[in-house]
Formats: sequence, structure tokens, C-alpha cells
Amino acid sequence: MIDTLTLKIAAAAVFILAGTAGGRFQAGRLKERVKLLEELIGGMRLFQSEIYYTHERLENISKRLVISCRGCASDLFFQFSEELKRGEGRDTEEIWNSAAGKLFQMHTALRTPDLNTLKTAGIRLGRDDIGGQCAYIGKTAEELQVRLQEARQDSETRSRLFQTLGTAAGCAGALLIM
Amino acid sequence: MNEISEKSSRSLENMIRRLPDDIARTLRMMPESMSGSLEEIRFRTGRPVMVYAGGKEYEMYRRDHQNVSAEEMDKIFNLLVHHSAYSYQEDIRSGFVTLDGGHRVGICGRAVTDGNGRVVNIRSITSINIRRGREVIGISDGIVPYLGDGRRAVRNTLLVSPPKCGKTTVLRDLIRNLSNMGYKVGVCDERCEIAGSCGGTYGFDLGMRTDVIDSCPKDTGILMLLRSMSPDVVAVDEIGTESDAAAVERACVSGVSVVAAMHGSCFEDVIRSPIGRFVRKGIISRLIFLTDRPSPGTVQDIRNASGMSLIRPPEMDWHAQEQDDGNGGAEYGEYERVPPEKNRGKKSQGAGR
Repeated sequence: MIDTLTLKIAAAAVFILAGTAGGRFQAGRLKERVKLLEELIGGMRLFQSEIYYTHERLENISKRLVISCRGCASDLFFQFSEELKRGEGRDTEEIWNSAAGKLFQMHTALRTPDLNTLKTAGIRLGRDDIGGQCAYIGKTAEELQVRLQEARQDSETRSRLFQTLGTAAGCAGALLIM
Repeated sequence: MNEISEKSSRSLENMIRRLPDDIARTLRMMPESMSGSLEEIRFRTGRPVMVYAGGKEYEMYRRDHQNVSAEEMDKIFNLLVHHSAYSYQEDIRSGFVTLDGGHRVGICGRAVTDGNGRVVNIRSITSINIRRGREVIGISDGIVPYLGDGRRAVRNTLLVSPPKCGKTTVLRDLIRNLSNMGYKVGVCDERCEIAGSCGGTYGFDLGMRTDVIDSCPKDTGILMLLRSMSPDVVAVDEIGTESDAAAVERACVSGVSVVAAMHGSCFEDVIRSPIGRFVRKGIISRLIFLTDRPSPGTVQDIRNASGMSLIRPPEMDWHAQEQDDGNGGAEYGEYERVPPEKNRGKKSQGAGR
């Protein structure tokens, strides 16, 4: 027979573990956001270079970027290229926004301001000359850089806080049970 | 449906699918007799969509709204350039873009110039004119016998007509005919209209011995062809400037025949142009005059260098019957024929219902 004390100890351990895991998960999301934003900025820089040097259509460029970009940037250009393929009769901005929205659903660590910043790239996409196009994508990359700095600060200050809070909440639960 | 009309409708569908859904849907509802003779689709900001087919003008009725808004114009342009205006920058500077299949899109709007007054871009597009590129196999069959000079060479020939009379269509088929007859034909296709080239493949059949240099200024392109491809015939569309004339002269003195198209409506127009001196000297010895009556590509007259007609009018009408549907411009479902006198002197917005 398992006595009450053993059960209480087991439950307290579960509480502590759950609290710590929850705290780490939240802290992990902050780090994940930093990584995702870094990948997106890299992707936007590559996007800019491709347009500048190849002058090719967005359809071809996005297909190449699926291979040459990392992580979520590759996902973004994959979605964009698929949407372009299907998107006859739709505006570029609409297509870009739809691809960015799908990326947002896939990578939940990104936040709404990140999505809004990413969406600004679609406003003039495919409508400008080479110089204007590159400048506009560069502007989006710069704005993402600002988001990245915020995300880094968030990660530094709040990730330790989340971890501590998670463990503390677990310990508090354990104490209550005991 | 035969192979040619199948190819033609495929090419038309390629053009239509690049337009916003509601416009594309309405265009797909066109009766075959009208879509077969479709020449132009025109969009103007604040005006209804106009369709030109079989030499007649129609106004498109749209369920949601009648006139093209500025936002819609922006969207239409964006779709036509495959969401990538920057990739068509050089073309946009010249005021036109060529679509897959050789359809030419003329654009008007606010021109952006650099310090030297050179147009670098066109923004705020206000008018778009999509001209359908057509391939009519055999349209030049009746012309070919007039081009031989008794030896193996082809006479230097000019196709002359006002716009929209089928110069490019006839030239394209003439190239195909000459190429398949055994001549090496070099084509300088500055506007990608003759070959309809896209992504390294040709949209039209130009024969098995044809080499095409496209998107290249005519004067440079002709010289490049002469140096690199040793053609028997050089074909070029819409010549008329001094630099074009110099390049034609260079080809002629190199022993290469030139088949070219130019704007004009009569023999005097040709004589007055920079090309006229070649006609006066007898270097260009065949002038084919085309008309759009009863249909584009109809031969009106064939003259020699001294201006003497080589055919009589009743015998020249090889192409006359092809596209006359006998409808006389009756209403076609979503389209209504616009009589030529409509809008003349009318100040109000487009004729909406």
C-alpha cells in the first residue's frame, strides 16, 4: 500500500517539475523568437540580393530562397512561392500577407508586431523598380532588426524570470500539498 | 478545334489568366467568334474596359462596377508583370511590356525621368492596352512568290501598314515560310513580339532555320546577327529611324536580304522615311502594303521599287474571308458593340449602363 506521505511527495515532485518545465518553456519561446527573427532578417537580406543581382521574377526568386534560406525564412518563401503559384488574379500584397500569416501559425513564438513588420514588405513588393524594391526590403529588414533587439532584451531579462517563477510556482504548489 | 486555333486559344487563356478574376471571367464568356478575332483589351482609369475584336469596339459590362478604379489599374499592372515590375524595368522605360506568348502591353502613366530627361520608370499607371499577339499560319503564303529574285536570294522587302493591320503577324509567318524553304533567318526581335520568347523558348513557330536575338536594339541586333549567325535573311519589325536605316544598309551591303516591317500607309510615306533612300536606289525592291479590311493581314498592294503595282486588287484578297463572321457587330452577351461615332464630342465618363 502506498501511504499518504509518499503520494504527497510524488505530487510535490510533479508540481516542482511541471513548474520548472513551464518556466523553461516560456523562456525557450523567448529564445526561439530571437532565432526566428535572425532567420527572417537573413532571409530578407538574401531576398534583397537576389532581386538586385538577378532581376528575376518573384516566382523564381522565392523558389531559390526556399533552398538558400534557413529555418522559418525558408518556410516563409516556400509559402510565398506556393501562394504565387496558386494566386492568379490576386495582388502581391495579398499573397505576401497570406504567406506571412501562415508562417505566423507555424511558428507561434513570433509575436503580432513581428508579423505586422513582416507584412509591411508586401506593400510595395513587385511594384517598384530595382532600387526602390531593394530599399523597401532593406527597410523591412531594418525594422525586423529593431524587433530582434527587443526580443534579445526580452530574452535576457525575462527568460531567467520565467525560469525562476516556474520553479518557484512549482515549489509553492509542493509546499501547499505537503 | 484544329491545332492552330487550339494554340491560339491557349495563348489567349495565358493572357486572360493574368487579369483580375472578375475581368478574366467576363473575358472567358466571349463567344468563340469574338475571342478568335480579339485584337486588344484596353483599360483606362475611370473608364470602362474596352475590347476590340474583328475591327469593332466593344464595352465590357461588369456586374460589380463599370469603370476601372486606380487601385484596380495598379492591380492589373501588378498581375500582368507577374508581381515583379522591377524585372520588366527596361521594357517599362520604353512604355510597353511583352507577356508570355508575345502579347504586348502598352502602358501610360506618370513618367519618372532622370537628370538627363531620360525616362527611367512609369508610375501611377492610367492606361493599359493589351495587344494580342497572333499566329496565323499560312497568312504570308500568297506573298512568298513575289519575294524571289530569280536566283536563290530573297528580295529586300518591306511590309508597310498603319498600326493594327497585321504587320507583325504577316512578318512572323513570312519568317516561318522562308526558314522552312531553306533560308537561314536571323530575327532581331527588340520587343519580343515576333517570337514571343519567354524563358528561353519561343511562343510562335518561326521555322526550323531561324535564330532570334531579342530585347536588343535593332541597329545593334542586326549587326550582331550579321557577325555571329551568318544569316541569309535578316528580319526585323518596325524600322524607321536613321540608326535602323544604317543597320539595314549594313545588312544589304553584306549580301544579306532584309525583310522588315514599318509604319506607313502609302508608297509616299515610305519614300519620305529614312528607309526611302533604299527604295529609291532599288535596294529594297518589294513593298507589301497591308490593310485591316476586311481583316488584319490583308494584302492591299505589292509594289516594286519604282512604285509600280505588281498585283491587281481583286487578286490580292487571300486573307479576306478568314475572320469575317458576318455578325455585323450585334450584341455578344456581356459585350455591346460601340458604334464609332459614340463618345465623339462626349465629355462625360465612359458609357456605362
